[in-house]
Amino acid sequence: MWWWRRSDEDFAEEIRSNIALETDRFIAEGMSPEEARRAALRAFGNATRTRERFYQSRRLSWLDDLHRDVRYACQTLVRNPGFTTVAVLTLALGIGATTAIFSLLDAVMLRPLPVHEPHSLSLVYDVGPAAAVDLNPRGDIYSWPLVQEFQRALPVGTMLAAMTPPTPLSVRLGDEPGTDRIQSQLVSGDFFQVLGVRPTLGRLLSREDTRTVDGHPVAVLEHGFWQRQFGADPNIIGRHLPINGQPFVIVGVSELGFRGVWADSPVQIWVPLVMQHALNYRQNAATVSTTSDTPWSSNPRVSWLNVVFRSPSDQRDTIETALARLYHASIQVLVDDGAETSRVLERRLHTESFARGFSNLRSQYSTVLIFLMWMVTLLLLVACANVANLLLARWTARRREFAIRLSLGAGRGRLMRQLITEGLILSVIGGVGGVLLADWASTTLAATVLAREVLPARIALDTRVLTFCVIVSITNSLMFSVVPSFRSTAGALGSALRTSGAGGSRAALAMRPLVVAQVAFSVVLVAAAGLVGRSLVNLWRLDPGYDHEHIVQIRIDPRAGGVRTEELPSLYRRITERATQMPRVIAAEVSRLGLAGGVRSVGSVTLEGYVPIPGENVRFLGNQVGPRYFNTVGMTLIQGRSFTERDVKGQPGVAIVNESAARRYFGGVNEAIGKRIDIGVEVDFEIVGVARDARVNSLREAPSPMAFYPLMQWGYFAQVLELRVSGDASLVGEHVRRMLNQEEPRLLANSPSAHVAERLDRGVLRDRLVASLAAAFGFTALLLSCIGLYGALSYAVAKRTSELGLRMAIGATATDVLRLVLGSGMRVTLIGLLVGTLGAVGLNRLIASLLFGVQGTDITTLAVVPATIALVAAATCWLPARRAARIDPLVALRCE
Amino acid sequence: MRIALLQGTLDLLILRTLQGGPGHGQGIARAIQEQSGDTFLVDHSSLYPALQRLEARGWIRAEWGTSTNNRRARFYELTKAGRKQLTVETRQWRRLTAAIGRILGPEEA
Repeated sequence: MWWWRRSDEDFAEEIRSNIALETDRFIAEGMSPEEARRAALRAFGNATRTRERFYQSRRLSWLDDLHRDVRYACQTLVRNPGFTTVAVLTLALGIGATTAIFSLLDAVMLRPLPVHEPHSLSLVYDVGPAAAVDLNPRGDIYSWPLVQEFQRALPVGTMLAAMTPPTPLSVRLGDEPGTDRIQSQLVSGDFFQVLGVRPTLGRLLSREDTRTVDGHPVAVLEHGFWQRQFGADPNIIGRHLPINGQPFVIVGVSELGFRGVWADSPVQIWVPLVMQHALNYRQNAATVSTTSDTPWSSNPRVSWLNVVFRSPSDQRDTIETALARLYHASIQVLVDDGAETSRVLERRLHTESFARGFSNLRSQYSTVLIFLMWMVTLLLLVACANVANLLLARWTARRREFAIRLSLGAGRGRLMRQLITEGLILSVIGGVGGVLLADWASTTLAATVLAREVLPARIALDTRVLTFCVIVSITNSLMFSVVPSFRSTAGALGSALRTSGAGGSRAALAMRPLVVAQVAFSVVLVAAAGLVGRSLVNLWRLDPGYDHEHIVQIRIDPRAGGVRTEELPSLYRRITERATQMPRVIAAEVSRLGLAGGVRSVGSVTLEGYVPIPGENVRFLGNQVGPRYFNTVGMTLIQGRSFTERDVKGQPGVAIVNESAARRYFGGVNEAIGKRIDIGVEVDFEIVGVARDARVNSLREAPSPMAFYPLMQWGYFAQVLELRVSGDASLVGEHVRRMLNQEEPRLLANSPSAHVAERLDRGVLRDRLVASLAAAFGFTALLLSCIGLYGALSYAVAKRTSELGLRMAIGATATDVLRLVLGSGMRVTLIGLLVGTLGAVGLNRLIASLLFGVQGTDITTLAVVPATIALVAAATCWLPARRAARIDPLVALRCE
Repeated sequence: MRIALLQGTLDLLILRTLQGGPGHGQGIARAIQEQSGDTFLVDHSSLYPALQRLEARGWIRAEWGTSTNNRRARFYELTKAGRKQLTVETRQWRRLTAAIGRILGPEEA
C-alpha cells in the first residue's frame, strides 16, 4: 500500500524500546543489567539488518540508492582525474562523431519539409513503359491544362500546387547593367496556400495571378533573399525587378524559413507559371508533337509541372483514382500514333507522400551517409571497447574492495548497480562532450565542404538529434559497463581477498577479446578510408580530356535578352573576337552546353552501317558548338577536320563524334569518317572528324558515345561562352563578363563566371567528403585501439610485476622479458588484424558504388593497411614491454 | 527441541496472540515462545517485517503507549478486518493440519 508510510526514526525507536523491554525482563529473571542488555541484543539478532529490511520494504528505496550511487560514483570519478579524462574524451569522440553524422543523415534523408503539416502533402507521379518521346520510366511532370483539370476533380476544400523545379533566372538586382543568376520557381496561384506559407510583407500569389498568359509580371521574394539583397527594405513592395529582361513587380515577401520544397535547392524568387512564355523558360519539359514556341501554359502537349496536393490521408486513394482517370484521358487524346498509344496507356498514375519534399542530395548522398553511419558506428564500438577496457582494469584493481563489501553483506546486484551507475555517469558526461563536438563538427562540415553544395541550411542539433544522442549514450554505457561489472564482482571472495595476482590475470584475459575487436574494427575502418582515398586520388589524377585548369565559363542567355535568330552569327563572332582581345584571354568560343555538367543524351539514334541489336536504343550525348570550340577548350581531334565558319545553315549537315562512338559503332576511328548519323531531326549529319574522348559532365562519368554539331547549322542559342585564359581564371572571367555586360547588354552574361576545374572539383565533392571523413574516422579508431592496446598491456605488466621479477631473478634476461611482453601484445594484435582483414574484404564490397578505379578487395590496400597497423601496434606494445624489461627483480619481489 | 516456523505461520500466530488484547513486539515474541512451550523462538528480524506487513494490510493497528514497567512501547491491536482474517486463517490451518494428519496416519508409539 503505497500511501502507508512510516519513518525510519519511528521504526528505530520501536526496536530500541523492545530491546529495553527485553533487557528489563532478563533483569527481572535475575541477570545483572550488563548481562541482561547483552542477552537482549543477542536475542534480538542483527538489529541493523532488521532495520535495513524495513527500509527496503519501502517502494522508493531505489531512488535513494540511485541518489547515493550517483554521489559515490561522482566522488570516485573525481578522485581519478586521469582515468575520467581519458574515458570521457574517448566517449565524447565516439558519441560526437556518431551524432554529427546522424545530424547530416537526418537533415538530408529523414527530416520533413519545414511547412505546415508536411505529412498531408502528396506528390503525383506516373510510371510505365517509355514512349516514343523518350519518357523516363518514372515521370512527374504534367501540362498546365491537365493540372487545371486535376484541380477541378479534387474534393471541395482540397487544393493542389503546380510548380517547375528551381531554375536560375537572370535577374537584374541593382541599377548597374549586368544580371545575376537567381534560383527561381514558376508556380501556380495556390502554391503558397497549399504549403501553408504566409506573407511577411505584401501579398503572396493567388489564382488571380494565373488568369492570362504572360499577363501577371509579379514576383514574390524569399525572406532571406529580401534581407540579404535588399537590406530587409520595408518599402520593397511595388519595386521593379527585371527578370530575364522582362519587367516584373515585387508584390510580397514570404514567411521566414520557407525556401521552397527542394530541400537542397533553396528558391529565392517565385513568379506565376503563366509567365513561362515571357520569361522564355524552356526547361525540364516533355513535348508531344508540338513546337515549343507557343506559350506552355495554354498548351496541353507540353508537360512541365510537378503537382503536389494536400489532403487528409484517408482521401488520398480516392483522389489518386480521380486524377488517374483524367491522366489517362489526356494521353488518349494526345497520342495519335496508334502503335505507341497502347504502350503509353500502360503508364499508371500514382501518388506518394511528399512530406520530405524533393531532394537531389537525398539520391546523391544516401549511400554515402549510410556508409558513414556504419563507419561511425564501428568507431563508437571501438570507443566503447576502450572504455570497457579501462573500467575492467580499474574495477579489477578494486576487487579487494568489492570482496570486502560482499563479505560484509552487500548484495552483488546492488554492487553491480553501483558500478553501472558509474558507467552511466561517464556516458552522460561523454554525451554532453559529444553534443558539443557534434555541434562544432556539423557546423564546420556544413561550412566548409557542403555549403558549396547548398546542403540544407538547417543542420541544427534539434530534439531529434539530441534524442538520438541520449539513446546512443545510454546504450553505450550499458554496453561498456555491464560485462566488466559482472566480471569484477564475480569469483570466490576468499581468493580475491588473499591475493591481488589472480584477479589481475583474469582481467588481462577479459581484455583480450576487447583489444582484438578494437584492432579488427580499426582495420575495417582504415581499409575503407584507404579505398575511398585511393578513389579520390584516381579521380584527381584523371585527365578529363580538355584543358580544365584554364577554362572559364560565362553563362549567357541571348534568347531571354531578346536577340533574334538571324542576329546570332554576327553576335557570336563579335563577342568571341572582343573576348579574345582582352588581356590573358587566349581563345573564346560559344556552345550550347558548358563543360563539367549538363550534357544529356538523346536516344533512338540511327547510324549508317550499324545494325542495332534487337531492342537496343542507341544513345548519343550531344552538344552544339562554335567553329573554334575544340581549339578553345583543348580537345584533340584525332582524325578528320574541325568545324569551320562555312558549316552554317543550308550547308550539308556535319558532325564530329568521339573516339568511343567511332570504335563502338563504326569499328574504328578511320572508318567513322564519312558515315552518316541520324538523331531524329530534319537533316542527318555526315561525320567529318573524330575527337579524343573527354569527360564532359563529370570525372566519374566514363566517356560514352558523343557527337558535336556546328552551332550555326542549327541556329541554336548558345548558353555558354568558354574562354581559355592564362593566370587567375576567375579574375579574368569576371573581367570579360563585365566588359560584355557593358558592350552587349542583350547577351545577359550572368554572374558569376565559373572556373571549369572548380566545377569538376565540385563534381567529386562527395568523394572528397567521404574520403576525408573516412580518413578521420580511421585515424581516430586506430588511435583509440592503440590506447586500448597500450592500456591493456601496461595493466598486464603491472599485474605481473612480481612474476616477471621472479623470472628475472631465476635467470631470464631483459630481452627475454621484452620478447615475452611484446609477444603477448602482438599475438592479440595479429588475431585482430586477421579478423579485421576478413571483415574488410566482406564489408568493402558493399561500398563498391563509392569507389573509383579501385576494387573493394584491392590487394594493395588489404596488405598495406594491416601491415601499417601491425607496425603502429608494435610501437605501442614496445613501451610497456620496455618497462617490463627494466623491472628490478629485488624491488618487484619485495613488493608482494 | 525448537522448530523453525513454517512460512506464513508467523502472521497467524501474531494475530492469535493479539486476540487476547494489545501487545508490543517483545511481548508478542515472548508470548509465542512461551505458549509454544519454547518450541518456537521468534526471530526479531522476521517479527518486525511481519508486523509491518500486517499493519500495512490493515489487520492490526499500532499506537505508542506505556508498558507495565513504564517503558514507551509501540502497542499493536487487532482491527475488525484482522479478527475476520484470524477466523479465516485459523479455519484454514485446522483443515490443513487435519488433512496432513490423515495422510500421515496415527502417531506411532
